[in-house]
Amino acid sequence: MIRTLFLLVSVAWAPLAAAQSTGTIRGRVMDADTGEPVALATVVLVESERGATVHEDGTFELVRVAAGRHTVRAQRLGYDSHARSVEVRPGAVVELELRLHATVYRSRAIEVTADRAASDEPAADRVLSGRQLRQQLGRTLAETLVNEAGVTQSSMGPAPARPVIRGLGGDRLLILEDGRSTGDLSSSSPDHAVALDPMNAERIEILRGPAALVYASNPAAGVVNVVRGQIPTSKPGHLHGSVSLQGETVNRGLSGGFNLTGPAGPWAWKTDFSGRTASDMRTPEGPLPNTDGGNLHAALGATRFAASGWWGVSANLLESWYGIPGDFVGAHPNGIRVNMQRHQVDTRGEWQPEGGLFRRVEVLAHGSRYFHEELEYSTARRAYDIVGTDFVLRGARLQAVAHQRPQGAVVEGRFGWSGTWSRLTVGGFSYTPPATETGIALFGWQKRRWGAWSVETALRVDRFRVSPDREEDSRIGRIRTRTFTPLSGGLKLMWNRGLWETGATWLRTARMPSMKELYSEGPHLPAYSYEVGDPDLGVETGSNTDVFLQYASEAAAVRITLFHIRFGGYLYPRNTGEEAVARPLPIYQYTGADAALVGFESVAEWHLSRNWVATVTASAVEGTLTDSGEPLPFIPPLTGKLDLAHTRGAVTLSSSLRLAAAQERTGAFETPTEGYAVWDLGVQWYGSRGGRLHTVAAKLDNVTDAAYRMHLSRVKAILPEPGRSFNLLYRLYF
Amino acid sequence: MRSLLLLALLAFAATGCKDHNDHGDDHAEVFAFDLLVNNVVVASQTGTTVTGSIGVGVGSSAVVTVRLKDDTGSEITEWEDEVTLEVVSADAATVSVTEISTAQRSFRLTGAAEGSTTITLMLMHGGHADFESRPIVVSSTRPL
Repeated sequence: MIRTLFLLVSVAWAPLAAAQSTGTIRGRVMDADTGEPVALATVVLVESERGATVHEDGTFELVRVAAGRHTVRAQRLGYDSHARSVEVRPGAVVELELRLHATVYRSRAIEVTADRAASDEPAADRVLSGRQLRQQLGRTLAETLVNEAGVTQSSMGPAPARPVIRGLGGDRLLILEDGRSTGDLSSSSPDHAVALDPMNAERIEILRGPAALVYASNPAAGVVNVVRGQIPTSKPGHLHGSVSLQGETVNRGLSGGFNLTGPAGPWAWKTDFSGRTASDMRTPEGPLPNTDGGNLHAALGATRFAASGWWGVSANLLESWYGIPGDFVGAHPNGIRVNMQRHQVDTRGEWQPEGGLFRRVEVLAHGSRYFHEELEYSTARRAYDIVGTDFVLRGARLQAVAHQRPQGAVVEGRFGWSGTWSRLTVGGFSYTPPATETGIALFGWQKRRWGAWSVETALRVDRFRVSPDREEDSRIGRIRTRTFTPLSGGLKLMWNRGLWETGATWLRTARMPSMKELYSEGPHLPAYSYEVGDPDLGVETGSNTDVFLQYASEAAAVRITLFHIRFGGYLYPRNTGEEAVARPLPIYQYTGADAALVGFESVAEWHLSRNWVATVTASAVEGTLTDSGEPLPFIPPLTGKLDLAHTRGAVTLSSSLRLAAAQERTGAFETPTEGYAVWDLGVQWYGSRGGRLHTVAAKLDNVTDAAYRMHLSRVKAILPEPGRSFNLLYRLYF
Repeated sequence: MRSLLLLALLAFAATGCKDHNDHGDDHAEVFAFDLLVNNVVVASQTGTTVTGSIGVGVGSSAVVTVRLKDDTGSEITEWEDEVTLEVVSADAATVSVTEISTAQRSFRLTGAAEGSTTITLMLMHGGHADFESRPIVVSSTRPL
């Protein structure tokens, strides 16, 4: 087995080893004011996403860099990032010195336009990393992102929370880990947790617009990519890593993790591990039983580097367990326990041709297996040992993406192909038949710039096929194979002059109905619903339009985005108001109906003085079923945030006020939610000692212990959000 | 490097893979049921509606027989082999449930203290409940 794997890797790697004209970038990263080395900074080749960690003496080296022009960017906590463009010649060494200015003020949510233009990076709309990521790091991905403008979270308890953007979640918000699927079922039901822990995330990217179509046909809400770097894409000079410890009082939660990366001849390797445990959550109305949980995540990856590219493999496993609270109308009195387990293997390679249209070609192969069981409480045996439902999802993906070389007006382009296969089998008390889904896609995205104007275009065609193991007539209709060939595309036009930038985006998305939406019939206990599919459902199409206006200077920044999304055949579980006979659960019928969402997001920042920054964010969305005029269910209310931060040297103090209006515009059988105001305090510190970088982030969340509820919580009737909590995160980089 | 890869694969395999709690495709299509005491129907559930209640004296007991029906109203006489009857009292200190017999399709209720509670019937199949009744009221009263 091992021999075969090595043979495969070697065969794939062989063309990369061919002699090719490459050069080396070598340099130092220095403090612009003091001239001291900035150890542990990260130096990234922007176009190829390769990087290196700066040594204690400030030096770094990037070897086997393809000849041509590259953007080199250095960044580190406490400093503004700095980018330089360099020309690498075959066999030559480019010497470079990057001088970083200590951060006094760094725009929190809006990148200053001039910086972005300089790098030509096909930037995500939002990147959360470094200090911001540590400050916002939560138990889940959703909790980590929830303070971003336009982001809310849906939940059924503390563990199974999932981000919602512009009122859209589930399959309309793609969650990726290192650019590929998380291999879970989190998009299909609010009680299913996202199979990743943000503890060891290097950064989190939010991508919207045409570029998102590279990943899927249905990113109506966008793409969230959690970058862990499980397969190293650069070879470090020596051992580097980080160790994290985090604790919080609201659930007596404790988590920790580490990651290590190092060189071994022509190889680089990386391993990371994280673990998390938490007891029942404390709310201002008392502790809530069956909200405890935990997880373990371990990964190991290795990459072999060659003259014209690299090839790597990785394997990872995740175990997670958590409770869904009960004891409310429609719910199991004792709640439900969920156990999940996921295994993944990946292999990924990159070839960097010497010339031609493409500067690099990526190939990815991925396989995963996901198991998830939902256990009911047996009163007779006083144990959670009755299997309500279990799922096994097997998936595989093969993908090739060619990155276009910048030339003329072309800033970047990506063209590729992907093939996917997945098989879902459902056990326990459910009539959902086993089914297999296959997909093949061709896609292309390109960004061009002419002076102050830039244009992004994307086109994607998919062919999906969903096949049940057995075609048959059932109570919900004819269970049969369905095939879809949706077309999606997008156009983004931007104009930039000086401190001003404006633009408009149009995006057509296509979402095919899932196996669950087509074929399910049965109770889904943790979701407290009896779900009924419709084998006749068609493709949901979305037409997204947004316009934005931005002003960004060092003193102030404002960005306002207005959006309108029109859906044809919007797929959603409609509460029928009826109850299932077999179990006392409300019946939800999967339905396609035309719908529209309209809303805005805004961010404004003021640099009040050298050390003080104020930020105000606000967002709102309104969803309507266009035929009936009824409100769409599970749409968040108007939300906002007032932040005030004071930075002096290595210490930042912050105060945040989270605000939400009442949501009284509710869908059928949905209950309204009161508004709230919640106050948080935070302090961050960093310092270098002995070549190591120590960081501490402390937060006091919900200072006043306010009782409040999120509208997108399915269990809000019994589950107020967490009460006052002291959270502490220590992270050591070395 | 070979060791690293071997370690990765071993770690991956060592965690094992759970599989389905498999079950057959055929389930009892229960739409209604009657509860009988001494061959007299005392409580029923049809669809989602429960009618009637059960009375039992404190310190005494009653054997309750279960009669399942499909959506045409016909009695389901043949229960699947793997189906078992489970009956749970919401308050065993008021009314306890004993002698649950799938073969006899019956169970015994005993009044432990004066008061009222509910019982829930479940048809268990392969470790999960194929059918769960709505709560049925049981009153435990002292003899006059």
